Amino acid sequence: MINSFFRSRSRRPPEEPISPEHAVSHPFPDFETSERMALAHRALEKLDATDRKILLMTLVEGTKPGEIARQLDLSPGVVRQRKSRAVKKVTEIMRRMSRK
Amino acid sequence: MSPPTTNQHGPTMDCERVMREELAEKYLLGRLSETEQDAFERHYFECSRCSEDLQNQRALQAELARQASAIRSEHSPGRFLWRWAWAATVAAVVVMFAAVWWVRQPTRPIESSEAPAVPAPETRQPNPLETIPPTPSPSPTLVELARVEPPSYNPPALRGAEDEATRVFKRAMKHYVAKDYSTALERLREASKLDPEAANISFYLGICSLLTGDTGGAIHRLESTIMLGDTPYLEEAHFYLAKAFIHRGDMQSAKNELEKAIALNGDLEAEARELLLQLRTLRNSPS
Repeated sequence: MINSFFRSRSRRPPEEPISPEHAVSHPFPDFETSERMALAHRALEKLDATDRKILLMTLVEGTKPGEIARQLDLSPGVVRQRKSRAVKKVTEIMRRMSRK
Repeated sequence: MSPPTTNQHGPTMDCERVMREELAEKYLLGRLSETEQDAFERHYFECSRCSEDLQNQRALQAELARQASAIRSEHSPGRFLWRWAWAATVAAVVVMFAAVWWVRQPTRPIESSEAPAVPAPETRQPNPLETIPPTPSPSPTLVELARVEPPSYNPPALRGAEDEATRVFKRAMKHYVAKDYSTALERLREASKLDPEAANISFYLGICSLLTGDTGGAIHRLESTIMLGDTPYLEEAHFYLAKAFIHRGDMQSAKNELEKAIALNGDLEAEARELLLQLRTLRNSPS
């Protein structure tokens, strides 16, 4: 029962990747989420502008690497590589900061 | 903490696979199949690390969405700029290698376009005595002894009234200084016609003949210089006449001229003694 409760909370519909408007439409996130978003904010500041764009297009807009590559004038391989590194870097920074 | 493994209803799920296949990201984007999603959920409920990563990525996703407008308007360096930076780097490396290559090249002869201060030789004749002749007739040692180092020419510091022969001589010696001995020889012949008794003209006529391979002419001109008596060119005339005789193969005449040069106790005495000694050694050595 507990498992089903968490599953229903965490699962998102596969057909609809989260949109920025949808995310912004939750103005009162719970305290833990707010804290994590503050950490994410600080971690994102440590990335360069291109990496932030790649993360936005990948994690929020659900854009495929090929399309991101065309928009940013990069190769798809470079987009995948930069996205992976950026995610690892941000989550590592957030993990480190949350333990302080 | 050891990574928990989930293998009840589908493929094995562990932290390594979650990281490798970026499953948290795909989960948040709803890109996992039903089976993968079940396996991932079972895993992260049991794995605190993957659960934390999922929560962080969810917060990252929300923060990115909140900053979306600002991030889109940010200026990021495009590929165009990187292409120019790359091209500049490549160009710098090429220039560096070219410079190193150029510096490591052996000494090149000066080409006509590289010597603007000195008139280019019009008909530069090869000097058989400046370089070792390719023919193997004389032994290398003999060739070394016959080699002529052109005597230097320093224009007189005192200026006086110049006659035509002196002017022609000066023009000739510009070619001589430029190592254009053929042209110098022609001009010196003109000067010699104007003043056959001038020791300087006679001496350098002999030298230029020697340097252009006219051994007979050199011997004649240098003997003429010696015949002029006690001139500033007497010692040098004996010394270079000895060289001409060596080149011809007349070693006895060469030794005679060297002994006369030594007897004058001039600037070339030591060099004449050494050359004479070498000639005697050459004569005594078995061939």
